[in-house]
Amino acid sequence: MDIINVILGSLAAIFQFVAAYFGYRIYKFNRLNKWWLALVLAFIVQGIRRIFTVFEDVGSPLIASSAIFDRTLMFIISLLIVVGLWAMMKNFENFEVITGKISEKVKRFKK
Amino acid sequence: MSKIILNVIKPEKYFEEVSKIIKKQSSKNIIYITTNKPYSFIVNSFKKNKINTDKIFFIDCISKQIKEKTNDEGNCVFIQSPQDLTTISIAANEAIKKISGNKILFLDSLSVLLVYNDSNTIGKFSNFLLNKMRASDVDTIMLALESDADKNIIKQIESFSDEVKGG
Repeated sequence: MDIINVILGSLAAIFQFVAAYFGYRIYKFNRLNKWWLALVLAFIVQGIRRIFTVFEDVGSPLIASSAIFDRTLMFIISLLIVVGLWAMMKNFENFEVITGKISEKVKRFKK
Repeated sequence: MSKIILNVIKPEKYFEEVSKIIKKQSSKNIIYITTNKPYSFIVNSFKKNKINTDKIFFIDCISKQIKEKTNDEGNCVFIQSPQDLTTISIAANEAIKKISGNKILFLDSLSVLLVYNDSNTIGKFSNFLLNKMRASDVDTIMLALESDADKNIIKQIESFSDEVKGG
């Protein structure tokens, strides 16, 4: 067991959960889109994956993580990130559309 | 210096009061955020009351929500829903920036926003919007129903306002 690996792995897991908390706080502040929560969920799953890694590093017999399990977690994380960011992108596209429409309509409004 | 006015009005006199306020402000460009009635209804009612709508720029937050047909109307932009507060803020800011001359922001109404959003969110939204309007030196008139006047959030918004009428 490499103590440095365990410390870094544990800190990475903690920071991942802190990131999930901040992600949720961002959602609570602006409530832009519920799908943003997919990104928060991705951070949580990522945190769980990091905990499994730490267990592996300390050689715990409790977690016998298989390659397929790990790849499944990786797949879920990537999928959730894509969904969350896609939904946010739609929101930002909408902001762009509204800004453009206002500029165009104000020009007509002035005439 | 800009002024922020909260009008607390009786539900039965709602549209009558709206018409009065708009008539009184008719010399200015009005940015009218409607969460209460669709653009088409308001324009038709104003026309019946002989109110000129040429100087009113509408931000309609309700037509799409109630699936009313929205054409590319001249003086109006349509927002997806009254819950979409970020887009409403962006639209209001853009309109304020782009429309020159003497102008006023008219928000109709806080009571409807409270139906679609929780009060904490409306508190933050109102505080943000009102401070933006103050910074841009734009007068703002907001409406709320008398029945909501006792709600904590309306009391909080009263504290952001310079004047509270009615109620």
